[in-house]
Amino acid sequence: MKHYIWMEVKTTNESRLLVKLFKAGINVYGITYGNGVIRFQICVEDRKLLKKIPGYAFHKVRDSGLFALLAYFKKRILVLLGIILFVLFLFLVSHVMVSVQVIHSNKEIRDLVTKSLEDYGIHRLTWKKNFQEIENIKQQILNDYPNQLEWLEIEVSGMKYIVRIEERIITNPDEKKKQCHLIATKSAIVKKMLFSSGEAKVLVNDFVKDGDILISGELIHNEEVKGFVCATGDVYGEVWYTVKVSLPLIYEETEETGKVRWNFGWSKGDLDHIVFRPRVQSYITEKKPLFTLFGIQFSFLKQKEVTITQKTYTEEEAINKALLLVDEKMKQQIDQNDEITTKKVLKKQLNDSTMDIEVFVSVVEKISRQEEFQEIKEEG
Amino acid sequence: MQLINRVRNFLVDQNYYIDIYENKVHIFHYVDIIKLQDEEIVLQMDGFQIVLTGANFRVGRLENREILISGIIENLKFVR
Repeated sequence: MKHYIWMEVKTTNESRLLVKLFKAGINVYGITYGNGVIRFQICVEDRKLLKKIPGYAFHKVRDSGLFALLAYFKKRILVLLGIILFVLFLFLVSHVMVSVQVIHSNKEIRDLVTKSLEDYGIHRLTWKKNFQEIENIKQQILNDYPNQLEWLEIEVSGMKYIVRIEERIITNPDEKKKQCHLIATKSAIVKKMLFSSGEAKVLVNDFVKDGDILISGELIHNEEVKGFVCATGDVYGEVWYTVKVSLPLIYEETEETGKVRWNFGWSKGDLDHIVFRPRVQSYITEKKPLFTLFGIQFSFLKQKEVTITQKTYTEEEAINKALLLVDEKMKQQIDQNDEITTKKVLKKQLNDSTMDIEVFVSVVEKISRQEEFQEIKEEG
Repeated sequence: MQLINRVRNFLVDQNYYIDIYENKVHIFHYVDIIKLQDEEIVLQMDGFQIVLTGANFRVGRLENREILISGIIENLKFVR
């Protein structure tokens, strides 16, 4: 890259000067004329040729192009260094962890977790780990100590990791309960019985009420109690529910147009802010995190334009949607292994903008629990 | 633009060429400056002279074989 410089000279006859520059073999660029002053660019190697032109006092104004920029920074090297060091310092401050605080009352557990954290690279004066790494380490530690740790949370608080632990306390309920029945927890029709000890008092398809003995802990032979056990197992029965759901008939449907606009934003806690005014009217946002500084997360925002249209359910669609809502509502109440077997619409009422629906639902679910009993000793 | 002109010149093998714009003239491959004034510029070319007349002539760029002149151009004459 050629190095050019801006020169300035006072003259009353610019033409004569230019002819002299030409005769001296100096290439001149960007000539500007002022009040008795002429300013131009020359190659830095040609500067010594200017000395061969007598009668003119040429003096350098500044460097040109990238060299001017370099000269500018050279003059302000301390300020520049200061800015770079300050940014580096901020980066370090926000990324280096200075302490790890493990919170638990049991010293053994604290030591166990501290050592494990060190093995996975979480200790003081280390680089801050990202969210995914912390999640993986948490899971690995919990997997390493399944009998000691119930729950573990690693919180990043400024330059400090705060580790909270819940100790696992294993108790064996069967050891405590010497004699127990399996009793019904709700009214139902028995559908399935799985038991390893005890004597069944009901059959499949029997109707049972809340509190009925399903599997007895008394072992009876020839109408005499021969022994006692703790009845162990699970009994499943069909239970009935009535669920009411109210569904708005008008709903909004969003569709992406394919138009994408980029924006920049920051978020602190749950509050999100955007820097530039959105260039599309309705949009959904995808966040791509860049970096976090002092707890503020800076991100690129991908704003995808969408069109929102209002639609109305037909009666059939509304019923189907309502039944799905019933499913969701029921799943919040029942266990993962429980099964919804029947759904029937009992009542439906169409209003101006909503539909109220009442649904009968039958669910096969666990209906048994253990209950201890005392042996009745006969006197005499 | 300059690069294109140079490539074109290399391919066409011209001795000289002149680009004329509304108030600028760009002359390549001149040999010498005979006269350089506000109203008249005379350039020596290879075997002839170019005489430019007009007003407020200013040289914007001056190289060994290339000159850019701005101003009000009234007449451009070849003197052989």
